[in-house]
Amino acid sequence: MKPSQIQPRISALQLSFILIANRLSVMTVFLPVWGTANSRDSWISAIISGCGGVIITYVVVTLSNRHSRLTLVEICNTLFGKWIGGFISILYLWFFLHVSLITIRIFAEILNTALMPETPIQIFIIYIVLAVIFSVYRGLEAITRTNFLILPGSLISILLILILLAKDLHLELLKPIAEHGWRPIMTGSIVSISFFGESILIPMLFPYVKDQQKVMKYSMGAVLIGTFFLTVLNIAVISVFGPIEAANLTLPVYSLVRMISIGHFLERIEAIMVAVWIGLLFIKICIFLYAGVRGTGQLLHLKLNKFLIIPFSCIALILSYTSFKNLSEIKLYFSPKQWGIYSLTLEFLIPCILLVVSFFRKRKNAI
Amino acid sequence: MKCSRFRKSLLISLLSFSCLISAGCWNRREIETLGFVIAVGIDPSQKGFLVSTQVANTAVLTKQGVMNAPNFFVYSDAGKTVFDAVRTATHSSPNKLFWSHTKVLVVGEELARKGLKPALDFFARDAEERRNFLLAVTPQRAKDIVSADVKTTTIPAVTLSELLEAYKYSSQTAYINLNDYLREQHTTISSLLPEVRLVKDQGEKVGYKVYRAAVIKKNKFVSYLTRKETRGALWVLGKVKSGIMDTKCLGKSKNSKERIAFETYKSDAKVKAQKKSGKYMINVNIKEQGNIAEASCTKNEVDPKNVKKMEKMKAKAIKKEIKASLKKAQELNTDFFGFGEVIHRSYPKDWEKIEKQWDEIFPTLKVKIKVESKITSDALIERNQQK
Repeated sequence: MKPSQIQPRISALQLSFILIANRLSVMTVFLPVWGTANSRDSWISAIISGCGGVIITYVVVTLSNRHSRLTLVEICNTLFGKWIGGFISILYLWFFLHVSLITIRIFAEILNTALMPETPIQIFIIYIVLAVIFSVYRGLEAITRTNFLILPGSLISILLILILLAKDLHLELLKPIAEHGWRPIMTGSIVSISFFGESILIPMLFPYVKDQQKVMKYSMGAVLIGTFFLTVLNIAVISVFGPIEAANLTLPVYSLVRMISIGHFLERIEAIMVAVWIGLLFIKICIFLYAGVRGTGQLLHLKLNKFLIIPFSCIALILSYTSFKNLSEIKLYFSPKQWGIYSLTLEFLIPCILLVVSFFRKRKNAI
Repeated sequence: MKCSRFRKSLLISLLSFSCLISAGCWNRREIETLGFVIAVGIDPSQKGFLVSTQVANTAVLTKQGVMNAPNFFVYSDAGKTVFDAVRTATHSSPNKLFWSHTKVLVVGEELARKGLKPALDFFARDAEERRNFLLAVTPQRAKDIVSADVKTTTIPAVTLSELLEAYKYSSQTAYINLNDYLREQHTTISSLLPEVRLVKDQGEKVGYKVYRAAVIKKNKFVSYLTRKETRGALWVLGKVKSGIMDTKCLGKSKNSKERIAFETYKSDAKVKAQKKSGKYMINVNIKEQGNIAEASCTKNEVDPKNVKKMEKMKAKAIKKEIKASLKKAQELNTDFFGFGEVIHRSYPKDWEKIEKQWDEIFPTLKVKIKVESKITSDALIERNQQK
């Protein structure tokens, strides 16, 4: 039997680890500025976005539970038929590709900005894409198991960073709360919600999960852990740099780590942060590219889909290079009006419609 | 079989490809080729800025035995911007300047009068610097401070940073890093920067002296505070870690030569804003703890009555310092206590209006000061009632 025909098996815990890694990776790159007029309250936005994340995850997991053997693409096809379903599936596949190509660019940009400003950005892009191609070839199980090694280390590193910073925190800077009213806080949480909405991966990977009844519990746990880290990091950034200066920082968490200095011997540990970035962003790129490739295979009813990996990666490589000019352009792109509406439509609106339709269909003919 | 051959060829091609691109290496910097900048001094010049850097001679510092070589080099160059000046230094320095280890940034007073913002942006923006190096102002030329050959066991810049950090023993000078400075300057707060001078130290060799504080308002130098005024400000900011307060002896006249020295161990400040019939008021509440460090003249110090008296005397002395500091602040119209931010936190809705008028409100702002002082021990001597 060829390896590609074996269905990969992962556990619900591994799935939730993937979700945490996805959320954490982008969060540690650019943090509190998500289009908030007043970044002092961004930690409240973080909590609100966590609530949004819980709702989206609930919808998505309920949808998966109703079609436990089908992936997102197959769900679309069964519910809406070949043409409309196919169209929606293509939207999703594009979305997966899009997320992975943006992440590739973020990866390249942060290494370029923070560490090696003279190195051409193409080098980083090519290297990460090569690594991703290799791991996607290895399949879902390999990616999830790698993540099982990377994520705990990253979480511990971030916690360590927060503990080491404790003496530099000026918590009084968090006050006054909601100085400019609640409107900017709400708009500020939109983009953050859309990142929690990346749990749209769940229906793509759900059929491969061994203990499916646990998925709801674990993915909620993943959202909560994500919210916790997001909130704490926001509080740390604001209380170290102050709200105005924090909004000016390109890479707030990186600047935060650079502030650590304990008794002149424990300092300059930002390499840890870079290691965390490389690990987490790598996992994120892999899993989204994998979802794209897998989904395309299912859409076209291909028995083997591994030959799709290289073309997909090439598209991601080229588009990631041509779509943006620099890091601030990516930041601008993640505005509530552009990215917020675009991604929340795919992550929340369409899953809701799918859920409603599936509810009626299943009643009728009980598939 | 086919599959594995495909894989093999893929692997080989990938490996050979990686050979191609990993042969050259951008941004490669060997540690021997770097010049570690430990201290920077910025002065104004006709061109723009005169940037002086003190670079550690790592070869001498690591290898023992090379006796005659200097253990640091100084490069100073002018440029229209700070970075321009820094890059001009490549004409005189064989090693590329490396900024991650910068410990101190000294600014000439003349430059501080013109405005610090253009001088500091490079340090906040560049990827190599950290925001936690210390700032200092000098009435002399920053170049002289940075290039001075001060008696030291390592290199002068390290000594300077240690001196700046030693503020906590007397609390009579300020202590601020770049990050705190930038944060404060975004608000109505005026920052306090320590003052550093070169002093003749018994003969030819010179030494550093760090004391007092310079007030910087809206990135511009305003004035110096005296040492007492500086500590007065630090009491309110809750930054007094330790220090010596001295008062006259119990029952002696004001100008008596017999004095008591109290050592402070702990201090804590609570600042609160109040609004009374449209006017703002600040309540400062200071709690201090310490012991008797030196008192040749006391009698019966274990008597609680006497202890109370001494505590009162100490509290009074602290209050006097704060009042002096407050008076100076209101004269200069510089809010280095951060009272504006306290009002901002308590009355966020009014703040938008107040912020614009803050310069008019602050000089007449009413401040109530309350000091609670405690004497926790009298070290190794306890004078009982004798004689």
